[in-house]
Amino acid sequence: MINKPLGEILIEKNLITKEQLARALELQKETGSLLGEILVSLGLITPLQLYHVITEQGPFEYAGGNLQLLAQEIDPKLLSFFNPQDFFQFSFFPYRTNHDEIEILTPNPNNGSLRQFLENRFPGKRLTLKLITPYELDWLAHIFFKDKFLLEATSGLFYRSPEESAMRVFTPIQWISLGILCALIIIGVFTLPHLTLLILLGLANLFYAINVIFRYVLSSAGAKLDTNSSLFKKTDYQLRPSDLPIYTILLPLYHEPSSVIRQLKTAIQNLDYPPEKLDVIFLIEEDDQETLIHCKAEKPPYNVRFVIVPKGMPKTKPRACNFGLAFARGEFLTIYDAEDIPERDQLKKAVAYFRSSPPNIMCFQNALNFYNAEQNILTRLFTLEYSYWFDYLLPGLYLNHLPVPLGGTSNHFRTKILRDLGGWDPYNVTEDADLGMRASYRGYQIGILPSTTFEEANSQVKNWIRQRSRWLKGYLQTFLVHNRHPFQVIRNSGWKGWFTLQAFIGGTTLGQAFSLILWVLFFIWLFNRGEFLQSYFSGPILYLGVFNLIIGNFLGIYLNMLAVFRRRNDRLIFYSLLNPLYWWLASIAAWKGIFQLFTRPFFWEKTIHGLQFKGKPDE
Amino acid sequence: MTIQYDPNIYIIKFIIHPIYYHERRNKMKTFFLVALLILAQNNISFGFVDLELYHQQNESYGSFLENHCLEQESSIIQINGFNFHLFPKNTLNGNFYQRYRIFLLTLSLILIGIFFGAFYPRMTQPPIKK
Repeated sequence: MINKPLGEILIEKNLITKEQLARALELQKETGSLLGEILVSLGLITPLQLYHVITEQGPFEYAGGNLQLLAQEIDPKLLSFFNPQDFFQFSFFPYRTNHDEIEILTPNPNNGSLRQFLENRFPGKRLTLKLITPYELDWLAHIFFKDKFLLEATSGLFYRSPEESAMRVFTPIQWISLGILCALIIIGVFTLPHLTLLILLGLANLFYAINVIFRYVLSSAGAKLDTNSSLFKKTDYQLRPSDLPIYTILLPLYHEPSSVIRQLKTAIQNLDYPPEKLDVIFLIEEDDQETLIHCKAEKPPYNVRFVIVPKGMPKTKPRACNFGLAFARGEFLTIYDAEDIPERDQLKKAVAYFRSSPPNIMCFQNALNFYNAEQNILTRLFTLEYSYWFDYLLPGLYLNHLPVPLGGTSNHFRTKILRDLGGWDPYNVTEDADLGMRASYRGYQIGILPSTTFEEANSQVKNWIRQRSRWLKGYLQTFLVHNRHPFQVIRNSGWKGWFTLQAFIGGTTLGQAFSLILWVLFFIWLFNRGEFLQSYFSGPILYLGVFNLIIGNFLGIYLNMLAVFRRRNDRLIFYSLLNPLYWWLASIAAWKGIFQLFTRPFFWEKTIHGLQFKGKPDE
Repeated sequence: MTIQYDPNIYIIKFIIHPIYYHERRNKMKTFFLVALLILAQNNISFGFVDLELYHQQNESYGSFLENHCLEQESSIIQINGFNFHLFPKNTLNGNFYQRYRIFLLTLSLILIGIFFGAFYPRMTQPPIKK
């Protein structure tokens, strides 16, 4: 046992220099973190070197090294006294016990809250703490609780709350009602064809018109959101590094090329957040050895943990995220895609917003936009759409106190509430939108964070249709799941919440699918001089159709133009005139999504990342 | 060149082999289901005709429906649903839709029934772990 400070021992062993120690001590003053953690997060020493030195310093013995042997020595009966979440919250793993003593493995033996927790749990027993590295703690949890975590990740939501899970695509009542509706339409078409088609066309046009007006109202409200709100300045005092909590970042990866991993690593390292308080989890599927090799080759910093998601069905991103959620240590948690580049101050901003918000705000959604907007026409149109969606529509929902379907990535959660809600639905292919709606219907709110994460816009039509068909299929799943108990939805979030579900979630997919039919009818009318369709488009239906054609399309294009102004992407403004072509693509994707809902409801159409790197000589 | 014929291979390959047996059974099943579908459709179509669902059509094109019901030239044609309304003299006054309306309606309803019936467990139950 050496009675010397840690820094001094490390200098004596030539593991760090005096300047490095001084820098680390300065950071420790700012952040209040442990010196060892800071040195490891700066990459100056390895965790193993740190733990060997701490062992020499005493009085704690290092128990790790041979993980298999350690796992054999652990008393499995002792595990049943704890909830697995406790292991990550207090950073420990039970080891052995006898009559008057309990042995505990921990990477942080001086943690006061751990000692208090264990003393309350085992009053009168003597505690013996032994050292292991945080990686060993993860692996022990993986060895002993893999199956439990996996079961929870895959079926937890279904077993606890089957009506909120998309594991069953339809309920029997929904399926039978749909069958009866189809039969009635068929009978109508064959017995009273004219009247039936009039009713169908009238309803489609009415639905479309309501959707157009609703989106216009939302966008008008969203335009009022002040992104330079003074909220951030007000809470500046809360952003002292010492007050920042541990922040978990989940990164689900699947078949990612090395160029994407390199970009991701740089993006994470660039975040303005104390690295020792960042808990970064790379979620890699068991059968995806290629991505694991790419990740290891990039030598990510020590605050990155690899969690291997065991094989199983459904192989979806939410299942991987649920599995990763079990390992999360942070008070707050966010999720990024592999190709994301968040703004540097995003996490600090999220903490500030959480601290100054009521506790029922369980999540903040920040804007998404693209860094390859100028790659081709498709990426330009996609950028216009994304800007409109995240800068106008979602803020519009938020300001009107309506349920917000979370979008893609960069959702910042309170981890505890996320766990209480049951995490993501692994059977829903737009798990984020579903989670946003579920949270709203359970009384939580979603806020909007004025920060942006930049992603890679899909630059290939085929890949774009794949991605869009998944989104639209997922919106239908969400629409079906939350329409199982419409009265409950109305009771929890009022008529406005119910209407949002119909118009915004169902309306997005169904509206885009209908639009193709309406466009085809329009072209038939154009070339047929209206003779064939004249009897179907008369009176109110004609007015509605003309409203949709002229006002609806104008508003769609106009609102996309507006989106350009907030982002100052003036060069994209003329491309908004091409939007009708883009909507036709969306219609094709909508029909593909509807078809897949019946044939492959849980199939995850993987979006291929890194297309922008293709053809570049360095990549 | 002579072709070798080995009766043992024939027996193993075409008579005993379980895969072939299942294939044959599936083919038989499909055949009976299709036959059942045609029969059901034929009967329901005639049922619809008896219900005078063609009332509006009868006013303008009165001859063809009555003809097909009353003036069947062959019993074979009566059983075979696909040749329903194909007598030239019955079809003179109707277009394709008018001639086959009842037939198409019945077919569509049966297909909807089959689709919603066959997909019922898949769509309303959790997927079975394999």
